[in-house]
Amino acid sequence: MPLYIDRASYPKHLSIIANNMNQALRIAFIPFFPRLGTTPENFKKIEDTINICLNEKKPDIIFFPELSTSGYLLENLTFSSALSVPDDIPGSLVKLSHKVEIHLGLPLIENGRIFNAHIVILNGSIVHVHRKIYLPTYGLFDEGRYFTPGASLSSYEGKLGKSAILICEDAFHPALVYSLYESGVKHLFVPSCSPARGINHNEPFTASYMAWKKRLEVYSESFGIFCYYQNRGGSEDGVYFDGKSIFVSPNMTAVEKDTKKQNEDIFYYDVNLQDLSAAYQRGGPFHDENFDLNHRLFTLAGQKNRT
Amino acid sequence: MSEINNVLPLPPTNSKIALNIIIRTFKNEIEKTGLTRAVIGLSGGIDSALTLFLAARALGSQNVTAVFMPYKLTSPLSREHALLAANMCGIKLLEEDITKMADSYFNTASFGSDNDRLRKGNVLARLRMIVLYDYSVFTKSIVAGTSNKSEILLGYGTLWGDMASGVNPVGDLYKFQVYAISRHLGIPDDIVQKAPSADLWEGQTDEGELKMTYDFIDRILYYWIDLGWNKERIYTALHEAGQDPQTADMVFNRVMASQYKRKMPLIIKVSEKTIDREFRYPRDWGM
Repeated sequence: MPLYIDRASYPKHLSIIANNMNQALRIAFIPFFPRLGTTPENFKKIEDTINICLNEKKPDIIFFPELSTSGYLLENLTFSSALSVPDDIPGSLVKLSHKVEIHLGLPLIENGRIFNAHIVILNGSIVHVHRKIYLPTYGLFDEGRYFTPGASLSSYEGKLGKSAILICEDAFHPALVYSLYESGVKHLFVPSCSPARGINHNEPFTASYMAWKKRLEVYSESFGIFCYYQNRGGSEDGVYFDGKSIFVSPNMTAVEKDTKKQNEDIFYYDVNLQDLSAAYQRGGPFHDENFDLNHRLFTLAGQKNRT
Repeated sequence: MSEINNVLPLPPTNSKIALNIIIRTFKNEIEKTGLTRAVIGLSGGIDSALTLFLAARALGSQNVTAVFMPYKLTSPLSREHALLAANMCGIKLLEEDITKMADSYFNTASFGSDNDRLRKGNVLARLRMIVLYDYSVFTKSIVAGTSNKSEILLGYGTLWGDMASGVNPVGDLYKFQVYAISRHLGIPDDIVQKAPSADLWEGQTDEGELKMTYDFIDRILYYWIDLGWNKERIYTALHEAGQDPQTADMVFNRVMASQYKRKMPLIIKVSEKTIDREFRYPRDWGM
């Protein structure tokens, strides 16, 4: 897949665009670097970024990472950073959704409970909310201390068609991806705040990034879906986020941001929806999926093995 | 060591990725504070030399100050190596001799100053900390730490002395990784290959004091801490390598005994919101 690089107005950085065939929708992957716990400032930066993208490459979808309005390592700042939807979303930002589908991560407060959520704003309204189901609370992660786990999974009709969101560790649980696949989802967005780690090898990337890429490739190949991944950029409390963007098509084409680019460079990719029909024509594991059989086997295996 | 290398092999170090992460984060974390400069106590050893190279890459040589702080017993070779590292980075070396400060204290302390090497070493390390922090205020800089992961885990450093810093770019690197990245950066063999030493008296070496080599220490630490092996599994591996399994206890015991050095001082809880228990905020609050 040929990539060309051109100068863009995004602050200090280059942007990258990958050309594709006709019938394409353009996605802007934003490796956003929020300032920790300063919501108004982050909203302004989000709007500035959207305006830059619109002036620059006119994307159809702008994809921000997990917790873009607040930053990640919030601890007690979770409470002061939490937002109600739609009341706390600036009108100027909602207005921009008439021009572009906006995917945004935020701490969402509902009835006194705070969720790690991702919303989709389109045509002036919030068309989808996903509340993170699996909150990592181990190692360097402490999400379960501050957030309430989401308890539902759903999809929405976006510009690409039937789409869904799984936030970071949600996508480490194949059962959720399978469930979305079974419901007919063709586009899976995975916003993330994944700390860069793992240097004990001779591969060209961190162990954490390679794990993400492999996982998404397996999902795309096995389930015949498009996967879109965006990690945040910058650092917090000495923890580095690599700002990586990955697109994987069911045609088993994985495209990622040029590793030479800056952490905060925007990655544009034109998604060719014909990849889906091409993949289905070629055939694959998803071609002969037997959902009823799977469910019977799940039940049997669960009954037999659950302890 | 070939046998221990078979049972407890150390992994490769991807210097390129490590540098990418460290340099970008180092720059980010300093710039977030509104400052642009760093100051580093350069001893002539590999850890501070690596810190200097990283700082120069992250912030630009013009934004980094290297301070060499000899005591009268400091080896002349240390000055030579500090100068070599500073010159390679295009950084002017500032020299602040701490002999007068230290001897004045040693000669006048009301509770006496015997030849206890531990006390002397701690005083020298803390005097150097005072110089670095004073200089950091004078130049609006952040003190960059030079303690590596092996030293920090062993507690082989002076609390509020050489362990004190604002940002430590090498604190998550074991000594074997410090060596690998230093070689990758082209830090001269004169610095990389000499025996690690706090340079407190003639002939002092870290490994002589610790009574273990860093090669051995790093294997135990890496398998125990990073890979999550339990002690019994490590004892068995050492036994297979023909080594006394109990030698690993020296490492385990040092790590446990020095845990207090890796924590803020204990605060005795009386309120409902105690600092670092219920009052939990990131260091980068608002940055």
